[in-house]
Amino acid sequence: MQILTPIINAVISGVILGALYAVMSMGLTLIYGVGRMFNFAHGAFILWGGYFTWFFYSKSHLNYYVSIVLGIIILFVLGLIIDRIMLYSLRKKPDFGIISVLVTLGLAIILGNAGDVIFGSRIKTIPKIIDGFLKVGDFTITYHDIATLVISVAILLFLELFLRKTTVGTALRAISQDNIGAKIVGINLDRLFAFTLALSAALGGISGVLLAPRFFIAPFVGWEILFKAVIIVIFGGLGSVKGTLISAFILGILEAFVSMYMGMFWVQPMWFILLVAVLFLRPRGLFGEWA
Amino acid sequence: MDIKDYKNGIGLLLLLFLLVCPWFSGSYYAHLLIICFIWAVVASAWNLIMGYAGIFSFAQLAFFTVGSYASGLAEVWLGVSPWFGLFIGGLISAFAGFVIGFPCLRLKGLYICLVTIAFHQVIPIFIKLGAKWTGGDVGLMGMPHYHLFGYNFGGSKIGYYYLGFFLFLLFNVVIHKIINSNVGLAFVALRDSENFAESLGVNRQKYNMIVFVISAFITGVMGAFYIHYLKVATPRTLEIEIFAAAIMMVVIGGLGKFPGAIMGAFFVTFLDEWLRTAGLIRPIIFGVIIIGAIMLFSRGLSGLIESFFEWLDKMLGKNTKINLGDNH
Repeated sequence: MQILTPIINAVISGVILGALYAVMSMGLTLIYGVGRMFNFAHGAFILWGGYFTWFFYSKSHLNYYVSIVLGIIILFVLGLIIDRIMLYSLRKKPDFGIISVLVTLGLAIILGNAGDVIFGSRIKTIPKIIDGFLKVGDFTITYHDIATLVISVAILLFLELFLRKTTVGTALRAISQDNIGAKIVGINLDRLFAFTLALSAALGGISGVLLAPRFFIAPFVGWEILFKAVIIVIFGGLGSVKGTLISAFILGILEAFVSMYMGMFWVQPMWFILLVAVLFLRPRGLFGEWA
Repeated sequence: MDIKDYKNGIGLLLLLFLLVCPWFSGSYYAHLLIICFIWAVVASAWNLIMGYAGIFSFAQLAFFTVGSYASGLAEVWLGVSPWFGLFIGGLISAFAGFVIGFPCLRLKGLYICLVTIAFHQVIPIFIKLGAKWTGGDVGLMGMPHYHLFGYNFGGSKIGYYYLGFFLFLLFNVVIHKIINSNVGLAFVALRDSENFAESLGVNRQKYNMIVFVISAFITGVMGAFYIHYLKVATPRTLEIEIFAAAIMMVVIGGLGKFPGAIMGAFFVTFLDEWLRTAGLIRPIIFGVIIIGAIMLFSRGLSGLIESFFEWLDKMLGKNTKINLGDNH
């Protein structure tokens, strides 16, 4: 039992990380599925989830939970606006794949640094969702981690239900399976794309709130998170919800073990090595449906 | 006189101007131009693989850094001559290109972009892990100056200026030659009709690998030159702001236009310098320019200039179809 304790600890924190990473990366997967677009601004959305909560809670002195919800709603609307003024017209171009990466890269730089310009570059933090920790035998786990796990799993279940049971969700799945076929049966791609971008921004916002107590809220954090999400989504296969889920948990658990036995620094290199190994065997990731 | 002659004439005049520039420009502008030469080659090599070969690689600055550290480490710890260091930088970088290209070039579209950006992201971690040798965040220092026939390059900017100018000319001629060679032709064929080209025996994998490795070599040499000029190698070259500036050069210049990336590099380097006082706003201006360039001027600077020459052509009442450089 004594020998197993650190292993069980690593598994627990790995599962929590995995759930968090799944929510964090799901926005990327959804928007890729609908529009074949890789959104480099997703890290900035996540970052702004933290900024908005920080602003409403620490600056405007609103209730903590109200601040979170407000932030998420603003991000949803921001997603709609960005689609309207930027992506709507570009989507008609033949090389949208490259263009979308370059444009969202520009957007990510703007959004990422706007926080520092508007609020000043002092380090910002937001409180944990619930303070304190739970102690069972040899294991201690913070309430924030438990809340993270519960909220993440709830969101993932909600998403799954949404994709399976609702009309919009079905349309979303249809488009990611067969773009042209979905258009033929009358699915409005433009509206669905706008909605999905808004949804993924909102999902990013939620994960930003969950991630913020682990990091600071600063421009470089948005990139760090984005690069993690990049590895997660290609590992699982671009556009595959199932793949993202599974790879988030695999990489989360790997991270927990690597940082326990080798140190935090080795996490990114190990992820990268595993990624290259998987892509060598399966060029489209674990569950990618098209290469 | 044909329009094409005008353009060649203007290009030649600009080169002559650059040739004599350091003698009257003062060391500040000489410095800026050296930086321009370096980025012009890096952007041009990037344009070769992204704009012509269609390999959506984001590993360019990773190769730049690998090349710079390879030469720096070889000189500081093994005592290699700095001239040979340039070659080592290119060679190790080309090797890294081969190793990364091997799994990457089998992938398609966005996968290449995302794996290469992940590679880019791993390099600074290795630099930090090897801090004992690489100097970590502080950077690697102590690279020797170049010497040629007893002339020490460290004395003034002139030596580095002409070395940079030489590399700038050499590599851009090489890239130009590649674009107009059979390899370049293969890419045109693959782009215009992939299935037909492949049925004629054009091997995409092979040609992709060739240009990817060549581009990595060229970039690595420039990385080596860069740290000798600045006298320090840091992981800062991998930061997002520099990445944004570099991608801006290619985008502003116009993807897939040969002289475009060079123009973009000069433009962005000077812009970057002028915006030095803008502080936190600077990256935001970069972001706006990237988006604006893509949404409004998708043909880039070279496209704008091309339009100007077309207009000029019409004004002069000639109907010769002009072609700026070798855009496809």
